[in-house]
Amino acid sequence: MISFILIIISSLFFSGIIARVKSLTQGRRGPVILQPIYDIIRMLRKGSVYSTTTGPIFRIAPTIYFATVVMAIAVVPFGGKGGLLSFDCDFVFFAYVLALGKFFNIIASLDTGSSFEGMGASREALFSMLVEPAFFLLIGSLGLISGNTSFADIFGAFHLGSSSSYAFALIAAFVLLMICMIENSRMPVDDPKTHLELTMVHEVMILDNSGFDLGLISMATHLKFAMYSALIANLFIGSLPLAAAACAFLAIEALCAVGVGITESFMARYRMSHNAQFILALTSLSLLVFFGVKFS
Amino acid sequence: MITFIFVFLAIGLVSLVASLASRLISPKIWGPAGVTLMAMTVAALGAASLRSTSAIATFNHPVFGSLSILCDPLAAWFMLIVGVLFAIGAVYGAAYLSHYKATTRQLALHWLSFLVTLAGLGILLTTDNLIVFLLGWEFMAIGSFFAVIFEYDHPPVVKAGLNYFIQSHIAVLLITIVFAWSISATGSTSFDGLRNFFSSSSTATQIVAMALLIAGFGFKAGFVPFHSWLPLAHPAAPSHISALMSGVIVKAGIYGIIRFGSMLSGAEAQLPIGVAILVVGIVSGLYGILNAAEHRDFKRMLAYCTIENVGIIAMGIGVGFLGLAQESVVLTVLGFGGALFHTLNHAIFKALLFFGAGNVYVRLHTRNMEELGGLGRQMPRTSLIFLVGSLAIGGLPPLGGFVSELLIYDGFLNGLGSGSLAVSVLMAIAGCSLAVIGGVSMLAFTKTYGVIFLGSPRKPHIHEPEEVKPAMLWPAYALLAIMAVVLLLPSQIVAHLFSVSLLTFGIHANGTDTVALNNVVSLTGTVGYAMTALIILILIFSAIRRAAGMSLPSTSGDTWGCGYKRPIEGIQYTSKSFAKTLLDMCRTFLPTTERFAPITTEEIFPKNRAHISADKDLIDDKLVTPGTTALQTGLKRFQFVQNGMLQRYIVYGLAYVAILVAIVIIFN
Repeated sequence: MISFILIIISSLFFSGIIARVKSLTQGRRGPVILQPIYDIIRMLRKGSVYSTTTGPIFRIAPTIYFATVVMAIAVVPFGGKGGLLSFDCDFVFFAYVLALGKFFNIIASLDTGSSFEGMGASREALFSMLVEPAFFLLIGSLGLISGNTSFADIFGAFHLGSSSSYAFALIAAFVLLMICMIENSRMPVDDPKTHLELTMVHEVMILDNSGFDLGLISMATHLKFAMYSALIANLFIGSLPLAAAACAFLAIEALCAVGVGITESFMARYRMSHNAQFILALTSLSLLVFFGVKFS
Repeated sequence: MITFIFVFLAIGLVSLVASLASRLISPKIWGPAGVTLMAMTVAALGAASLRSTSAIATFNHPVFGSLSILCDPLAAWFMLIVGVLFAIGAVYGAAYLSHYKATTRQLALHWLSFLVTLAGLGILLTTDNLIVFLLGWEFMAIGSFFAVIFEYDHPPVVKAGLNYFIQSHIAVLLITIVFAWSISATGSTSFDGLRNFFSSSSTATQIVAMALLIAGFGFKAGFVPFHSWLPLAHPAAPSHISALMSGVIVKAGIYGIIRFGSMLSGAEAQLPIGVAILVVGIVSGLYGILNAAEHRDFKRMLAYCTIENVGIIAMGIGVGFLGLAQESVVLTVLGFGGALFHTLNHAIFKALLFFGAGNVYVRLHTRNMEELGGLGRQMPRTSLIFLVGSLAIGGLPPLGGFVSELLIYDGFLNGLGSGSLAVSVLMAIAGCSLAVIGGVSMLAFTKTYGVIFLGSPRKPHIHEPEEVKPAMLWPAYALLAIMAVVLLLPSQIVAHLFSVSLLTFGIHANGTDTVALNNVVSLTGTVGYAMTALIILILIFSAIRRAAGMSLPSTSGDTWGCGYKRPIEGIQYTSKSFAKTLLDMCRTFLPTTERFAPITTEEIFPKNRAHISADKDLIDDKLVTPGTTALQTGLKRFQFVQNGMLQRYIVYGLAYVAILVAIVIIFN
């Protein structure tokens, strides 16, 4: 319950912080932190334009996508305390529920019959496929430490103390942050601010969504940012008392947002053909954690 | 219980007689009726024996000795799957075949072979005798061969059918070698004889014998590299036969591996076999799903997807054997339980997908998805059926496939921490592979569903397609209902399958094991609730969305074409282009032939040109075809023997007798 509320709260500020960091590095003042939320509220109150090519799939997909993200957030724990839902192998459920939402997003973009959206869908399907092994190997390896398989037990048993645990935490935090960037189609693999449809991944998939549906999709994106950052936060707050943990949680969320903003400011997007290699490199980092856990 | 078998036999006999008298009753009536009734008997027998072995009859045979007809819980699980799916498949088949201009004779042969297939499956599942098992296996192989070549006037269909026929007999050969080996060693033709053979043999003998069995059953199950008949036979067969072959008949191979694998004794034998099956599973899974992403014939794509799912089942079996080798009850039960559960799930959703594919085929008469598009508008119900199947086959919640894959994941996670480093690394690789398979599966099925049912038609239709008649939808609805039951009762099913696994492998769970297993069972219950919660959440958000949409204006217009105002159907993404980036990364394993002339820099105004590409199967291309070609050239040297001259044949006969006499004289 705590994690659910904290993730929702941090999702309100996350994208705003990213935008603010980016504008500060560019020497601008930038919009207010809550501007992304104002945008969503505006979109939720707008009507929609539907393409005549589309059918019911296109109309239902954003809702299902949003619901799956909320469901996935319900599984994210708060340190050693479980989320709204907590069971063994809940991280598999987490990944598969998100995959369900992605499935609908992809077929919705194919429903428009547009060449651009098909292209985005193809790339999204490919990149999210490539991310899967890194995530499973990472969480599975962290689970090896305690011999448990639920998020709450994994993070509850993960204590920062020995030098190896710091190494694991840093590698895991890096891998999770990269997964977060890839899943949200941000800088190293995708540039959300690009002005050419041919170079987009996620943005081009949702070209035809408008109004309420677009609002839902944007809200889901903010939630996903906060959700992955919550996983990173969980690596560090396992043994802290509640109040301190909550503060640390929010601080780490903010730190992640700053990190994303800085990355986006100082990095160029990779060439599409290099993305696959980059994403697979994350799996080898996870492999490092696996062998580290196995031998320590 | 005895009444069951009598009913079972009686209906078979009645149908056989009816088939002979098919001038009186149309095979359109006795065919589906006979198969459905017989299948329901099989299902009932399975359902009755789920908890305890039911011995139906025992009699003495002059050659084989004591023969029993019995159904133990492991067989009962497969009987239930076979029965239910054959019954539904027969109903669908009746409606499906009404679209063909088939002669009475053709239909009679088809339904008779259907019955023979089912009888063969029934026999091999309810026997404890090696020879009767082979007999049932042969019935199934021959019956399904004739069922596949329903359109025997099309040469490609016959070619695919013969390919299947020959490959399934290579399987029989391999299995027969082991059975004969065992029978000659122990003198007993019963399953117990084989069990004694295994327990009294050296580890090396056990491994060789089991490897032969795995290869033999692997041909039927479709393990890579024994899979090459599947992508040929499935598109050639009528859709209800494809559904049953993929969903059910392939699982006879799984049954064989579990049944005879349970007879292995000693960790020295179980460990290499477990590793081998796990590796075969990983390879089959990845190879199958990558090919599924590549192929554009949607029935062939589904066939490759079967190879993938059989690979997942094999992963579960491999984990189970590794658990046996490490004497870890939890690992064993997770592996085999997951494999058995996935067997059910795959049977249901693969049949669902083939029904959907069949509906598309009878309306559009093409299997090439590049020619389709936007069918969801004309065939909304078929579209829904195919969508649910596509979601389920990727193991996505909230459908049953997720629970069985979760069990296998749980097995991998358990295996990560236990045992040697080598086993642990293998488990990590297997877990990652399963994750990759899930990801590629999403790509393959979003592609297939999206290209067939969404967007705009890629080619003009000759006839405007319309939704199929209800008789072709109801069997699919029945499968959806079964999926709903599986969704509501996951923990009961899993608990049952755990006890089946314990019983089959003769394991006694001690106190801590029982606690651990109960935890897994309650876990699946929790997952069931979580999936229900997901459904409710989706419904709630849909309601909110609908309520919000009421007050908001909604207009319709063209798809955003980035300023381009004249979009045509041809610019849509195709199946080929959708999967291209991934497939280009894996070209080594996915050969294609492409013919096109690239545009050179001199060609300022490019002329019209064609691009032709054909998908190939690496193993078919590099292993099977060269092998059969070499065999043919070798055998052609002996063609002179078969010259049609009666005189020569008489000489052969004389020579044969002379050699026999010579042998007798020399060795006496």
